[in-house]
Amino acid sequence: MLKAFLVARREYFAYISAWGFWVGLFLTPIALILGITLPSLIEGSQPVRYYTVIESGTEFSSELDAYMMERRDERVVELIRQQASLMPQIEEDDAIAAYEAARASGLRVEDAVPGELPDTANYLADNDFLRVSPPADTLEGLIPYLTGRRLISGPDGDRPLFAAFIVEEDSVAYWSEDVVNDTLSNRGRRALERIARQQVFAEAGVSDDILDQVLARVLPLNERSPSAISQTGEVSFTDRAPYFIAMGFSFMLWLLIFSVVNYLLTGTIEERSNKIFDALLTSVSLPQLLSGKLLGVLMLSVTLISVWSLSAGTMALIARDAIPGDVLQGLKGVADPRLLIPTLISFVLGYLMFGSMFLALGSLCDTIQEAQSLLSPVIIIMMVPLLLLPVSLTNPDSSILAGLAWVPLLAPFLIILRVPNDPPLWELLVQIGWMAVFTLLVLWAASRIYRAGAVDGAGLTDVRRWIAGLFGRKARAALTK
Amino acid sequence: MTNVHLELNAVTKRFGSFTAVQDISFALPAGSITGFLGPNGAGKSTSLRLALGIMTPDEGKTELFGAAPNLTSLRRVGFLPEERGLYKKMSARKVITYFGELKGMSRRDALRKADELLESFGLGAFRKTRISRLSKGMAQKVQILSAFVHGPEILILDEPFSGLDPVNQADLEQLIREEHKRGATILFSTHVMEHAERLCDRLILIAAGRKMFDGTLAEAFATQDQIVRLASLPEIDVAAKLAETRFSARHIPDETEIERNWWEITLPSGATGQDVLKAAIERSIPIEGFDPGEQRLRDVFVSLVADAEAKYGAARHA
Repeated sequence: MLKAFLVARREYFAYISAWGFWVGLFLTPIALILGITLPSLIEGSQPVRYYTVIESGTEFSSELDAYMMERRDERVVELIRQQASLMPQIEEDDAIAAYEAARASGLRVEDAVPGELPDTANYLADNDFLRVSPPADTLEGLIPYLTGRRLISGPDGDRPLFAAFIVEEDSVAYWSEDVVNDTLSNRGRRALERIARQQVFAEAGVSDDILDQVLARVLPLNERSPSAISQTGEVSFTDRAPYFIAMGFSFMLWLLIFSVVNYLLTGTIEERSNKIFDALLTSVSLPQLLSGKLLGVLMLSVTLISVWSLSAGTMALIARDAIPGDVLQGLKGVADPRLLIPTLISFVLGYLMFGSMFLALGSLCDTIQEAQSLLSPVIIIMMVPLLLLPVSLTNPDSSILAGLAWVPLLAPFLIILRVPNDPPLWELLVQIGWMAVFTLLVLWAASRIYRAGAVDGAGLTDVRRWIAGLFGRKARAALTK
Repeated sequence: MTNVHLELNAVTKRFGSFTAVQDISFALPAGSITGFLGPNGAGKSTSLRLALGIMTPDEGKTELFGAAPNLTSLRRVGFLPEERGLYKKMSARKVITYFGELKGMSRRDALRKADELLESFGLGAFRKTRISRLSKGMAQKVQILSAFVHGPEILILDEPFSGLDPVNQADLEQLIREEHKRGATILFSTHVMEHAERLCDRLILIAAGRKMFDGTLAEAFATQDQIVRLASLPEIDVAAKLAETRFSARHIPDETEIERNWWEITLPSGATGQDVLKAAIERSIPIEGFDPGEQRLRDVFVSLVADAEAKYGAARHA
């Protein structure tokens, strides 16, 4: 045991003193934060895009302007709601009513926002499309502007023309160089629907605000759950939190295993290519060597978890005033033992399973390049849980998901995902037991492969021979051709 | 305490259809320096790995300090494998300390000993240098020191001189002598005969996976006929003149010169070059030249290896 610890200590300090470890340690949370925030940052950094409308009257452009303004008001109301929930001194409904009244009196968005709310820049950021006067009245005349050969002047300076609506008698043409972004074309479509609705209502002798009256009369639909935390059964983020936390845990487990098992692979390849095994094996037994290496890298992953958790905890503590109450309450579910215990067991078993596989593969290879060919199947298997994460959130009772949780290589990730759904305890225990048995089998097989690689110098050629042996004579003949 | 530290008894190891070693037996008496000789691919490294329990034999058994090799008995052994390698990102001091600790030394003792060894082998200034930044010879020295750090009772060194320059080879010879003086039993493999001749009191020679010789240097020489060369006038038939003596002579046509012919004379056991000269003078053979034909281990080696390859070479690949 002492020797395994000595091996573990050497492994731990060898990796922790490598700059690559520290890069990974700090880069991973940064990459995660960027992954979460970057889409909205990219959206926010998109410059205002100009569009124009060519029509004989003003019916379409007026309706489009009105629709755009309504959308903007909706967005501002949502932002006021979010801000007000973080400021106990502000009553949410009062702030919204004040805004709506100010807008109804003709004030601009930026002037209508209640002064006590901060971050007014947020309320102005949604002005993503601006209508400008058409620089020409024919398509031919617009083409140089649409293709960017000529710029058009507008409130935000000179820019290319992003799009143009050309209203004809029986259709509207939408012209734009950007064939991917359909936001503006959809808004134009929505404006046309509203025009058609007004026309049909008018022909039927019905007031065109009847739909607003209909919408005003719709009863609110309140989401309730028998397992909701609130006494009224009202569903809040606190109730949804365990699902998000389970998904987060599963993802972190995947990230962690994927990050650290590579150390085992590269370390073993180094020992094999540097011919260290013989010297080691006269000092430590093979099980001691294997367990020491697994323990060393496990200690490394505990370091990673600790640093990441401490950082996340510190950040949450610093930003606790900016986190809504139900979110804060929900985040406390991270420490829920019903989720934490299966997560820890899954982590240890998953780590041992994949770690020993990577160790065994490394012992057969002299270079990373050689390892790549053997790693591909394992990496493909490891990608499956990642693909299942979003699906599992919306379909937690899927029989396929429940079935896949019995596949030992996927079980560490899927068991965690299913925990918030309260599967029967016996099922959870049997799955964990089966995973543990399979892990022992993998460890046994890995130690045999490791022995073959480390002691007998088995390599890729031998792997090919073993596989041929598994698939019988025909396959053997095919492989040896 | 047993007088035999290491023993292989009728050990055979096969890899598929290839027999790496066949029926090898030898014992390593305490306090001996034994040279383990053989050509490349003879099975030396496999035999040493079997001796240390890194591999298990298909047949036969190995004993280290009177029992099958285990981690406890291996603590008393220092091993330098043929294929050198160290953790390249570790410093020289840390590598030696690590192997010392794995052999049961306390961290403090291992560090102290590592510093001592590095200092005495001229590597004191490099103790904190990473292995990857040392020259090949320096790195090899560090590996040798890693095998010596815990003061083992047996040192098993697989091709310890290969890759070292003559100065470092001399240093290593000196180190081996010092370890022997300390009381260590030493077994080292080599195919450089000069090292074995200078250092060993015993030799084991294997070829084609079989043991061909096991004994002292003198016994090794005794396995071969000693030959001297004598030159006489062209008209003298040395073979005929020595016919009635215990010496047999053979003309060497390749070395015929205008004024003399060279003859090869085989000495029977116990005879010396002096005896040949005396017999030649007694029979009035004009002596124009004499080569005492100092016997070299290399000749013994070549002869035994050739025999082994002829007899067993093909049978190794079943």
